[in-house]
Amino acid sequence: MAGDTDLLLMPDIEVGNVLYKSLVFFAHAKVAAVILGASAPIVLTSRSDSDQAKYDSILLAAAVSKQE
Amino acid sequence: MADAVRSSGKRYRIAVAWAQDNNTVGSLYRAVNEGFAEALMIGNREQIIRTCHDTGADPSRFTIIEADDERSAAVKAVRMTATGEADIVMKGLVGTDKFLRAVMDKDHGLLPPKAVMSYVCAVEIPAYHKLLFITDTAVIPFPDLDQKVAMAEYAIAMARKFGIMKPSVALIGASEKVSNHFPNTLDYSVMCKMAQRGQISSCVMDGPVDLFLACDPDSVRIKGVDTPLAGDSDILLFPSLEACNPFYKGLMLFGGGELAGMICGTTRPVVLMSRSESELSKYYCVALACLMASKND
Repeated sequence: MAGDTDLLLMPDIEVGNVLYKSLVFFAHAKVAAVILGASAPIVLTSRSDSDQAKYDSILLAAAVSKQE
Repeated sequence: MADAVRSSGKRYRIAVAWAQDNNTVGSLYRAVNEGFAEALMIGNREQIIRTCHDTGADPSRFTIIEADDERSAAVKAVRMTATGEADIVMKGLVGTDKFLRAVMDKDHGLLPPKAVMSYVCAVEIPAYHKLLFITDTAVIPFPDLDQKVAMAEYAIAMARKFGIMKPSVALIGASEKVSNHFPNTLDYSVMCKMAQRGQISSCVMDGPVDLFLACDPDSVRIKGVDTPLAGDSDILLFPSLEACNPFYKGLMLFGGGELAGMICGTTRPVVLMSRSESELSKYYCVALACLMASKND
């Protein structure tokens, strides 16, 4: 990895959820999220996510869907 | 925090096991010079003096106590603290397993029978308006109910030392829903009832809540969740070590966070941190341990 990782796989949902929320809230990280594994991408963001995060999630879902 | 310790006007005696790495020596030299610590450096005398010269520290400011190896240095440091010759014990370059074995020794250690040992950190994050206390980053992998209650008590006790007499305690989950699928959330519900009945020290406790509900008033409004935490938590209790550890490391790495932590549950403060931790982090940990060693009056 050499400290240059692209993808972090978390051990469980509580860990992943805490990490992304901490980075969004305390480190001003931008987030886009999509559920994969269904026949179509699903946009499911937190109720309190920003407009930007929801918009970015739509973009991500579109990008993922195009690749399929 | 360091101001609070300095202004107490007391000097705390710190026994340091195998005190011969640059960051440990540097952090203690600063604490000694600022007047709130006396350092009892246990290890190889020549090596300690050489490390002092490397870091620009004056070895005559320390009391150096000879020990043959890591293990005997750990045993000696813990024993001096248990007998009252020191107020605080600190890990130097000794391995964590050897150090903790000495701390947990039944006859000469620092852990009362059946006591829960846990790790509490005070974190300063530029994006949050106040200090956050978090637990457990390092000791208990999957705490059960009793261990969670102990973790909450240690964090509350630490917050009180910082003058926060009724801290808000957020029991962190992935959402605010209590669910059988997340056994932690069942423990959290029980804890809230215990807090309500006074079975946990004075605090405002709620959970499960996610991190947004715990720390962000806007999220509380948007989600419409009725929580007394109101996005203004002092303490975050995490469901597992694996949740808490990436939280603090993520904030150190990406959020400009600074941290001080210590082991709780022992009869005296125990300073234990990664050997690779910076001099500044070790200095903060020493200051925190001194604050925790102070009497409540």
